[in-house]
Amino acid sequence: MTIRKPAGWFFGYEPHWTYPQGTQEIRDITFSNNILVNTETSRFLRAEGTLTYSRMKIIGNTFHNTGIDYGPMINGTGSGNEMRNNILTSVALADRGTWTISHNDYPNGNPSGQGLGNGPGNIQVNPMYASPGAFMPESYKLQSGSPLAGKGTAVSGFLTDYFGAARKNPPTIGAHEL
Amino acid sequence: MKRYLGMETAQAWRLTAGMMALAAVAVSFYVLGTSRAAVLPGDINSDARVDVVDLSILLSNYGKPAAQATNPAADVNASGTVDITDLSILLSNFGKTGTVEIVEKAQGRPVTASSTEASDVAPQFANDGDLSTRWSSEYANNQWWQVDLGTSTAVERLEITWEGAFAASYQIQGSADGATFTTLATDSATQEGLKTTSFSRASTRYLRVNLLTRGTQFGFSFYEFKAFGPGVAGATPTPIPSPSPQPVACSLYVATSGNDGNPGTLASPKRTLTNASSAASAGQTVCVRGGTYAHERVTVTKGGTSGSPITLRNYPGETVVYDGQTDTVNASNLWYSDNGLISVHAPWVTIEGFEVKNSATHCIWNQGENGAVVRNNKTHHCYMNGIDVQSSNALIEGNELYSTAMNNYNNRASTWAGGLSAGPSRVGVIANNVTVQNNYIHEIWGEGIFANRLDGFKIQNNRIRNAHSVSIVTESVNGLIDRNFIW
Repeated sequence: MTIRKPAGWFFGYEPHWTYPQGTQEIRDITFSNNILVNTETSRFLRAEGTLTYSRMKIIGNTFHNTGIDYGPMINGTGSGNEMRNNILTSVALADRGTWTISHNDYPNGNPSGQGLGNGPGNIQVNPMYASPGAFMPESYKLQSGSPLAGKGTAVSGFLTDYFGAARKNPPTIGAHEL
Repeated sequence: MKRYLGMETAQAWRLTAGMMALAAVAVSFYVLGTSRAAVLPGDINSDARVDVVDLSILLSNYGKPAAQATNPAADVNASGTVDITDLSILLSNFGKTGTVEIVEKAQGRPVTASSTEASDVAPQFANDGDLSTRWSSEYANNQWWQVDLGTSTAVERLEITWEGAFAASYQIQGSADGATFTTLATDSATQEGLKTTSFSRASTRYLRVNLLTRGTQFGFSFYEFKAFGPGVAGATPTPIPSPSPQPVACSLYVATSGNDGNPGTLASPKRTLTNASSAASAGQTVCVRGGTYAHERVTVTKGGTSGSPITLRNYPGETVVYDGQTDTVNASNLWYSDNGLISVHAPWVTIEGFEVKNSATHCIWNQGENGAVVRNNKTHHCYMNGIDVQSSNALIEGNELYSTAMNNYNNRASTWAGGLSAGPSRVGVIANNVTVQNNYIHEIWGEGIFANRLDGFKIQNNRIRNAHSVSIVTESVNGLIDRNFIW
């Protein structure tokens, strides 16, 4: 049964919600080693006003047929935000602000208009998934010989991959460490 | 020695009233053997003896990755490398012999599948040796089911007992690593029943049925999958490790045959969990005996202490169902209320091992504010959330949630509940130290996981599929969202 194509994740705060309001902050969250497949685009949502994003880290995830939009950079950027070592099918950001964006793979090519692909270590190659299309994490492992092996950058505290294997230095881009 | 007689037919057959009605003309008989998955560890060349030839093969591949070995079976323990452990296993069996027979190798081995229609037709029911249980996929083409034989294993014939939802075309595939598969055979079914596929003997660790097109409008479903190949009679199958069950010390008992006037012993149990929980002390466990507790709402008002919680759980090995008997598909306007079919209003209470379904509100609701644990439950057909926890120092793990937020069934509402919700109990309060892990959340008519007003949380190792709204929502700070699989 397919209910609806869901969005992958959402960080943020919607001030118009009447249901108990959130923390009204967006900070100190690490989103790592996750595998997202065929979801609607995931998003950060800013609050109205002066809310900023601080110490948000999006590290080593595999986004297959999905990506990120609204941008972590909208309207106010704090410090320590990083987006590294991810496979991202799509990215649509309003403003990269002061985020550090590096060592991501964009299989569908550079995100247009943002200059995101120009950061250090960013590449645009086929990840070479094992058998994409199935509801099984193993399907999104990388084949040996994937060009993503060793193309990430070391991130403090980023120790294992989705499958529990130790990360190498430099690590593989995506949720599977080759 | 007990032996088994196998029968191979070209079409399906069934037994009716003790009479075997054969639809096929061609029938052949052969000896299947005496045990399943029999192998002689160290018999690398499968000639039923561990001898100098096997030793030679191993030594010529010593130090190599299994994928580069001239015979992958040289990696005796399937660790990925031909090493000292393999040599040790071989030498410990050196000189042993056996008789090669055709034996079944897949029963009870670990399995996975591309999808599952429901938990009672999960992948493992297709190789459990029970023809009354089965696996069933979602209603779509291009599905698969696979078994891990544990090590490189010789196979040459498959038997699939199809349910009515048979496959019009499918492939049999093998793989050494579970990632790259080679097609061993193609086949098709035309009806329910046994279908045999023979092919050239191949050594493979993983066997996959790659299901291409359906024969009906339903998904793919089969009762049993069997894989046959040469094995050694009398050898000990490779054991499948399983976790040791932890002993459970039950302090009080509840049973459908009980009475709340009883003392709550095993011989004289109480009738309701509400009553038993009020009689429990910090550190005690209330065990609920198997059965369906229909239309019974549980309210827990007595809690434990840090380090000595009150645990309310199923009696080990027995299935306990709390059934609210609300038709959540056809219901309307039940909407929001601060309770569940199981409601907890006290700190340090653990809810474990129950099936909770057909609730007019939430299924499991814990408003205990501190030390809530919700573990290994199954919640479904909940009008609101499957599990709603409002507590610091909370742990929500190992649960399966599906068909929740039924207030929005078929997208009929403008707002909706979700699957698993974690937060504090009141506006203006923040909850700390909350972990949500190893849950399977699917077919949700709202958000999958909703983390609201948490400071300090982990959401890890969850699988989330088919959430109507967002799979993971956080309006929280200071957290880790790691190793989740979201579809």
